[in-house]
Amino acid sequence: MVSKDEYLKKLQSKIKKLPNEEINEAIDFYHEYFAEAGEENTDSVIARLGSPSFVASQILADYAVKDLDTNTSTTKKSFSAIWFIILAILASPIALPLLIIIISLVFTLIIVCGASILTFFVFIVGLPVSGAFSIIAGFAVIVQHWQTSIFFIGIGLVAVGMGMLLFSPFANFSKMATSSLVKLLKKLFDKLTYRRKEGI
Amino acid sequence: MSFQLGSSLLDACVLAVLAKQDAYGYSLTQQVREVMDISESTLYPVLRRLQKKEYLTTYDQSFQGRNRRYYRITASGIEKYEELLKEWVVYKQKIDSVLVGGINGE
Repeated sequence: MVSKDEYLKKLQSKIKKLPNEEINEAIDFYHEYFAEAGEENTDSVIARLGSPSFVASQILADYAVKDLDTNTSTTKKSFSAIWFIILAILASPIALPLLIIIISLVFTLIIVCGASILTFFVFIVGLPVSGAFSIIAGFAVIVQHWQTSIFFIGIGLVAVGMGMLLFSPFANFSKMATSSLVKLLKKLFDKLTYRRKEGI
Repeated sequence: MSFQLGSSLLDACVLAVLAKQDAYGYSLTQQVREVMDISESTLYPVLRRLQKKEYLTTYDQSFQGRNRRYYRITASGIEKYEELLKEWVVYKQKIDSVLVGGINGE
């Protein structure tokens, strides 16, 4: 049988990717938990809690979503949330073949999401850049044919303006896409661990 | 139990227990477990999340030479609890009207 200290050490190593504050809180909590249950009940507490991996996967999965729910969520944060969900899935005790399927599914989702964000990004960055070139071209021909010049400068300004207008919807879109991806993954994770608990 | 618990229902139960009195992690877990079939490791993430949302605060008290971390519900926690309770009552009535009424009240 594992001792309480070994158990906590294992748990700590499974959640070491979290910020220090989170690690300490969790370890303190479970340290106290064992103490409350009493030294002689260590084995039954371990049996009721589940393996350190299981406990860790729940902490990681919840941390990912919690981190996302704070108002200051950014795309960067969402990506770190996705990372924590992957860690949670890795930490949870699921059969290997199933794990491989899940991981490929998760990566597919991430790639689809990432690709669509990238496409929009290129489009939106491309607009002002080509706009700027058009404006430069317009100024270049100003002495030869001023009508052409006006045409190019006008097109250029339209492109720049559109790029600027589309920027904030784009930022929202990518934020939304990543955060709903994380929520989807969390749901998937909950289903999996729940089924496992039932299916003993 | 055949019914799966949503996380909001779990949140509501934790808030309800703490609305009555402060509790430390272990006793809180046991109290919630009396009514719900959950794995014991589910509670810590819930507590941490509620704490982050400022529905709960913690304070430490020594007990037999070691530390006990108590959880206390905040004003916004009570607000949240009342909101969830209202939603629950509506939800419960809807389910009852199908489950109970559907069989008896033809």
